[in-house]
Amino acid sequence: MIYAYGICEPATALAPPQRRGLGGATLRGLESDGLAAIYSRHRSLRPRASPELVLAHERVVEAIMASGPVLPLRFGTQLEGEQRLAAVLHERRAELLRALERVRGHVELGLRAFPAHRSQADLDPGERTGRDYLLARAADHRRTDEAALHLHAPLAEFASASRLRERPAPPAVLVAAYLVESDGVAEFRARAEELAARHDHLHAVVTGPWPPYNFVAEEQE
Amino acid sequence: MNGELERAAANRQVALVEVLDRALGAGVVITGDITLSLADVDLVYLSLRLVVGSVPTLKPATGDAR
Repeated sequence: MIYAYGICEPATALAPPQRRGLGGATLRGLESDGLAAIYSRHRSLRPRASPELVLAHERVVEAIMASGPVLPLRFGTQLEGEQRLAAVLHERRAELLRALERVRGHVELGLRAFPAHRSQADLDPGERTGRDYLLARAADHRRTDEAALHLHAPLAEFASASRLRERPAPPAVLVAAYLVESDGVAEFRARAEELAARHDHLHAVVTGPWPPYNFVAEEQE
Repeated sequence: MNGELERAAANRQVALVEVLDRALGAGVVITGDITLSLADVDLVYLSLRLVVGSVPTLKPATGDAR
């Protein structure tokens, strides 16, 4: 059984990151047809999605990203063995190569915006009436539209690609991801701060740089 | 004023939520090979999100332990 972390270029897989994978396993690289992947071998593995394991997965993907473009695999990706992994790389070669090109020299940044003050909708159910709740939800939706217009749109313009979550889970009123050139990160942050400062009823947080989890596939339209 | 501290703590929580969202909800999916079933992920994800809690958005400090 193997556990796979990310898809990368053969050069990266020749010298896998010098850190440990899930359960302290050694990281290995596999090449197939101009594509490669970083994985580890396990006698048996049932990754429960504990924060520690998810963070271990994330750290490996970040280490791969330090040596070149990476397409992060979703947490929990296990395969029977190296042959199966090589077969997947072969079957999806064209799509994966395009995606690697798309993310080359880029990182992902996250943006979350919250109301600067708690809305009525966040009160305990006992503290509010149904009408309060509906009014507060309507206010949240207005804030989502507003944040999308004033924060997301200009940042999406600056980024190479972006993803906007349609229905952010409260209390967030905006959840978005941006594919940004590595040397444009500081400017992206500065722009986000400047935009957020103009809307003092919103608290915006930029996170990252992340591996490009949200940009492994072409946008579905 | 502990506003700065509170904001920093809220931002750390945001970062953890962002990691979970990405590693569990995005990334390349190799169909048929994930032994962690999607239903499992949904359940675990939900419980992790509950552990992490919703971000205490600049609420005045009232010993909110979520």
